[in-house]
Amino acid sequence: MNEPKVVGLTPWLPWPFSRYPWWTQPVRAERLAALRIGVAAVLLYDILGTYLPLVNDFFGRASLGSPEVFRPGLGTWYRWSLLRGVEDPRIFQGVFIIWAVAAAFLLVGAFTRVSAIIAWALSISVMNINYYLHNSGDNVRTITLFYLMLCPCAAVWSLQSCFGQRRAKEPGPVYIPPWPLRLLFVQLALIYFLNGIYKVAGAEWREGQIMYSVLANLSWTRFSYAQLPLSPGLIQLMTWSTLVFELGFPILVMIPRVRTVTLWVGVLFHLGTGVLLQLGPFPLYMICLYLPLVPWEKYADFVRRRSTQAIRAEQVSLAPSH
Amino acid sequence: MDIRPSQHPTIPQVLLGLFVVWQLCFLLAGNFIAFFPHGQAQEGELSDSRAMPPGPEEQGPVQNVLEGVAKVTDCWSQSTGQAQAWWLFAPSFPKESTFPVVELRWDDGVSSTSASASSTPPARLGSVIEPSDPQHYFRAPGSFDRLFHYEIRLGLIFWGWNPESLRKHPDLWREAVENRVRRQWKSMRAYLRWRVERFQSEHPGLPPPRQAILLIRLYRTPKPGQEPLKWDGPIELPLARWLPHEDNAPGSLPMQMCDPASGQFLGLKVKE
Repeated sequence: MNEPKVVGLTPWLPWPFSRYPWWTQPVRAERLAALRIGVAAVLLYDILGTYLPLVNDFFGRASLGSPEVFRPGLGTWYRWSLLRGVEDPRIFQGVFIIWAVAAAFLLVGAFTRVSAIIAWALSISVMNINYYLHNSGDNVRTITLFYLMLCPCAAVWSLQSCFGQRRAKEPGPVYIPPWPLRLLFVQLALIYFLNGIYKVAGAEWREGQIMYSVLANLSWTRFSYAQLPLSPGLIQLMTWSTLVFELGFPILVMIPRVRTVTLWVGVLFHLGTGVLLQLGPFPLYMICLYLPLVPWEKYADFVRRRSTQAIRAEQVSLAPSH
Repeated sequence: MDIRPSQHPTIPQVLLGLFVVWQLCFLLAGNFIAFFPHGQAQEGELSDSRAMPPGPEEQGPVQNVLEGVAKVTDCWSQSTGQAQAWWLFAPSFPKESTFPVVELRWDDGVSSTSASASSTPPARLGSVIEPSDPQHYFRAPGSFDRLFHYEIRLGLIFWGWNPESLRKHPDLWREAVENRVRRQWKSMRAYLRWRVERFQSEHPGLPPPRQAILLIRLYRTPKPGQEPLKWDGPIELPLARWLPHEDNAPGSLPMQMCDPASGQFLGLKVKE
């Protein structure tokens, strides 16, 4: 068995972080790779399915995002866009194709660092030249890409790692420093907790009625509430369970006995919002944040053991008999 | 297995460690700063910011610290694309559904123009997102999800609108509409121009319209338990008007507001 390999720079963490294994113990690289693959796949769908069909209606001269509309918001140095002032529709088509290619490279793990940087820079740039098209899901997208470009997300399950493994005789498990996954977990917990705080401040949320207002709204829903009316009790249950889930997420996910259930509730919650509401790819990007919480290493080790056994069996059968 | 660096970490390791600590501080500060008054009143096109400016009684050293923290977290979040704005459907949600509609007219609204232009009847351009039957519709995921987010922002001003409120507070509504048109005139004009250009490319034989009016169609959500389930509306509320031939009139905004009480369109002077 080969020694475990740790890929990526290990940060020097001051006290009290240095005391806690949660911040210092390396994690299997499959968890970060799953995040990379998930985000890249959703990004590819996002570009090809939600932007490109109407790209010249959304961006460029005489479009909804005509340069003069959102340019004043780009007046400060820290609010930037590589596409500021661009008017030519052909440039936008080219930019979105480049973005899609970067997402595809990120997906397969080729030129990963460069691909992640391009994907992140274009994510910010596109949002800032027409932010009326966007919602918080696009913030989640940019945040995730920001971490992906800074960490070794192609250590496994990538073309890069495949070429590396070919050189190694018997590849062992690969680990990464835990910091990107820990920070993303903190981000995920804050997303829910802050949502919960803002929601509990609303009387309709506390009374258990707001899910009716949301689901019966003709603008936000994918199909009419008249086609699938729900009982008042179910509406209340949905409203209050959302509140409990969001406010309780940081605690519930720390308790081993309810952790798996909590995560499944979260995934089902986002799938539900994706089916019911016009939120764009928001639910998909949120589900991507769950991917590092799945123990992918179990499946990876199982596959590795099976392939090692197969190779050994093949070697035995090929060995000359005496 | 633990991977604490040796007693002599390299400079990149120290920098990475400081970055991790900074990110953690940023995430906490960037989210919780929103609960404290800070910043300035928002101007220009709408944003996701919910920052509330502090009152005169809230000045002092503590306020200065808050302003500093808000400035730093804002710079970092904007420059790296990590905006922290997490309040989906909170704390309240409207009882109205809104859809923009564009009306094109070939008269100038004051006097008759050339015979061919004035004889063209007005054209109504609805939103592709508005259902033809509120009882039965289906919207597949795709580009229209993004268009929806643009269109919904055009009608935000009428969330909470009702005739009684307008009757009681006509001046408040007039002021609210004026402020909104002043803030959003660029996106409103972009939307109207986009609709006009698409219409013209589909109807090349028609002359350019003299007026493009932005109306918001509003449906009221039925009360919970109401039988039969029926959406009240649509109620059409004119919001603003664009006169393409007067787009560059000096001293005036290119968009006119509609007085919600009188229904008259009023020009808006550029504020100094």
